[in-house]
Amino acid sequence: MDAMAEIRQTFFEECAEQLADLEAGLLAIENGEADSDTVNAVFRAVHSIKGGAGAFCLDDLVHFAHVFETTLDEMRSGRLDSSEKVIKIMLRSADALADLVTVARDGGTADAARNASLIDELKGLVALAKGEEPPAPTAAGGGTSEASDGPVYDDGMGDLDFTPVAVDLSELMGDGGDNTFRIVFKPMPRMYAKANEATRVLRDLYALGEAKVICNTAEVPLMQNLDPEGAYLTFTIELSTAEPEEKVREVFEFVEFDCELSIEAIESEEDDDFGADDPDIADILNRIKATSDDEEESAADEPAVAAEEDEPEPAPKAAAPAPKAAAPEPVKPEPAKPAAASAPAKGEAGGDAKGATAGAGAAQTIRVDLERVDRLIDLVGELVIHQVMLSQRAYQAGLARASDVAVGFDELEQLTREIQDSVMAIRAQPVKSVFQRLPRLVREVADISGKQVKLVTEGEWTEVDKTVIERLADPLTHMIRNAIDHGLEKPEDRIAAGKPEEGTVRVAAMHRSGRIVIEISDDGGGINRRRVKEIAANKGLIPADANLSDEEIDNLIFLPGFSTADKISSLSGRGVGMDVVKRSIQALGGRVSIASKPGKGSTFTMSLPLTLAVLDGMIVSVGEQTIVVPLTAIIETLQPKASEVKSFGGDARLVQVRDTFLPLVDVARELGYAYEPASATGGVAILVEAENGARSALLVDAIQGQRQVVIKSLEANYGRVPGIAAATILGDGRVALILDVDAVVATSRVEGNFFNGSMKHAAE
Amino acid sequence: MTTLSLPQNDNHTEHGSARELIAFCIGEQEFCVDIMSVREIRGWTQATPLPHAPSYVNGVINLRGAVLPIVDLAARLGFPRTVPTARSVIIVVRVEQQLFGLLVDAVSDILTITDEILQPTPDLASDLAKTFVRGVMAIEGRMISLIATDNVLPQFQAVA
Repeated sequence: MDAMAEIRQTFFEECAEQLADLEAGLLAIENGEADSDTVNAVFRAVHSIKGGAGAFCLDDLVHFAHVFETTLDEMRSGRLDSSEKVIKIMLRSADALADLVTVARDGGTADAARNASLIDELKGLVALAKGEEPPAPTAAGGGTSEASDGPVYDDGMGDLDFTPVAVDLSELMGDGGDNTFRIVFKPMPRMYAKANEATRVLRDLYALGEAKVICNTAEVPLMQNLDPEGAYLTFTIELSTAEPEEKVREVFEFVEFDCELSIEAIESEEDDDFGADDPDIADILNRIKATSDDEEESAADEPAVAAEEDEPEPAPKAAAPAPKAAAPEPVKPEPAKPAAASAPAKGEAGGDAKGATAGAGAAQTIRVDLERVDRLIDLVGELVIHQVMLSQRAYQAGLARASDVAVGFDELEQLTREIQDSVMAIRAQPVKSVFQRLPRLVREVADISGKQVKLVTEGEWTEVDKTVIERLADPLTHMIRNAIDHGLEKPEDRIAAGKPEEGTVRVAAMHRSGRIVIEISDDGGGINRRRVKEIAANKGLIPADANLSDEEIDNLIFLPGFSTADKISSLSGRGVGMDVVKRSIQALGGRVSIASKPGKGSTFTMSLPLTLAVLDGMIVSVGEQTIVVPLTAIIETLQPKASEVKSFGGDARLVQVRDTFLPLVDVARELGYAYEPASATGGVAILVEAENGARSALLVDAIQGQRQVVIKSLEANYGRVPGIAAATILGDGRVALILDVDAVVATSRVEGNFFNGSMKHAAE
Repeated sequence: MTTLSLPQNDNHTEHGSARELIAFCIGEQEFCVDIMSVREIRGWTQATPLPHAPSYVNGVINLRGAVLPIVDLAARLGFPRTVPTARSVIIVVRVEQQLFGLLVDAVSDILTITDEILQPTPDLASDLAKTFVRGVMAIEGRMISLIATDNVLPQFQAVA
């Protein structure tokens, strides 16, 4: 079962890729950037999902994918225009398909009502397409007309042209159930063109009861007249089953429009001498028994046989489908495996069109356990440290700078730095994986809010560390929701303001000075500053008569407990405000800012470190220790003069910074490195801003410098340490602790209870 | 002091009750730990103290890129704290997924014993010592106490 679970996991991984392709393709079509390859890629994506889902008996998924695929096929063959309405339905179907995949993977229930209505809409599109241009009535006609579509039809379907004959030998002589049906089943070429197989239909029939299949090959022409994409076989099936007729009809559900089909109930079964009325069939059966070729081989062989049109005898032709018919049998417990197996074969046979699309998209990748990469990063970090120590010691021991060994050290240093950069780059991924979830989000939010929204993304190949990507999705989602829900005006208001009815939300990613910057901008009404100020005053966040600059007002929306929505909509205003967004970005070591122009729109700018594995820090001395203060928390540093430091009850001290007094936090004492209060004038005060926006001054002994440090977990081998966020290893190989600014500030307040109380008094 | 790596996958556990132990000194006393829990033995390097840590935690050191907490085993057992010197030794121990170092004065021996010679901890010992001492044994006239490494960690985790 392990192997099965592994296959299943692979399937879902592939599904995710296919779904991404599907959506990207549909969007390309929507934007008019599509060519026939795009349509094919979209079709292929749905088809692959359907095929894989069949292997795992995910019936809901198969059913939906099938209807979807049928509709896409109409589009592929040009019968269905890719109008905006059609694409909208398709995009929603893609979302539903994604949901079904998620449900299949994680359990839960899909939105059955929505799926059912989408199925109806999709079927409606098919009917529409059929209505405009009814398909050719005869099998041969259908074949030629589709074949004339040239490159479209060429797409990887070449190996499905021959009719597979499913003959379950073991059950041939079996005896029956209650009902007996005579089924005449004549596939049309377009049935095969849609990647359906007679084999599978027949196999499903076998699952219902005892079936006898007679294959009529009378229509098969001589080789030189043979249309490789035609359909020539007719199956007559006698089925004895306990199931009612509907069940039998269900088997043909996917193919009923693409074949001639008659199902009639008969009283009793006759003609036990199966195949006797056609000596060719007996011949084929013998060949089936004799052949044990595996399927890929025969599948690959077939087009070759078809290509050699000079073969006059029908015999090889008859032999060709035979091995294929034999193939499904040994794999009966996994009914769809043949489909999966033939998929790669299809790709090979697919020709240039497919090769081109595949080549453009997929660079070769491997999946690697993140832990292994992290281990490698650790070791390379050590390598760098040791390399530096080694060369330093060599110079201390009197090595001449100009010597060969020194040159060797220089080269070694370059090499190790390069290795370090390369290893860090392994963890980097394009933000595309987050960005590609956005179109769906925008569609959904636009639907619910009744606004028309166009999403423009830029810089989706900008690379950033995997851990950042994972934690980027939530704040980004929230900000986009906000942009649509609060930022963009209603269509009628937009028209009144002389703007296009459709609002635009732009999401752009870029690298800027060693960080990744993501801008979310909308062309909505901008921040209503009067309203924001009013709300903030009403909620007691600011004094009613506060005199604030525009920028300060804009930043009020980041305050905890602020929500501009008059009514709580299902989108934003769920109690999760911009303060949460800001906090989660800060937790990533990032910053967020806002720029807004009334009537023109707002831009939120997130700036994040490229990786969570490293951090920009200020290296400071505290007591006899060296600690790192994250640069993101630091506002400024200053050396307090004696006159600026005021005692404030007990041990508490305040430092005057310009015209404000800030609590002075003695870091050495907070961390237990010293018992006596450090002299404030001898040290350096680092002004920091805590999560809640409160400012404090951290008193340290000295600043050593500023540098990027690699973050190491303390919790892995020890546990949480109050006041400490993590550890790092400095250039000398020693461990240095990274200060948790918020925690240190918070504990300093709890300890200084008297101080805390008097602060409150003072505020009142 | 050099670093000595010890083999991990020997089949000691398969020999029924026979097992190998690493013996070490703290002051005048000898202790030992199961060799299977020992990952390596290395020389002392200055540890970075951790704030609010219990007194028996020396701090953390850099073990090839990993942050390794160091426990002063003497202090943990209720003896006076070890004053680390260049000759002190860190025994790197793995308990489940966690690695930590035990600061001891010196490694003295590798013993192969059977469980029969292990005697229960005498009642004389303090409660603290009894928490970490699984038993004592007499070998060549020496008394050696077996330390249960897995007991060292949960306590200090709870404190942390």
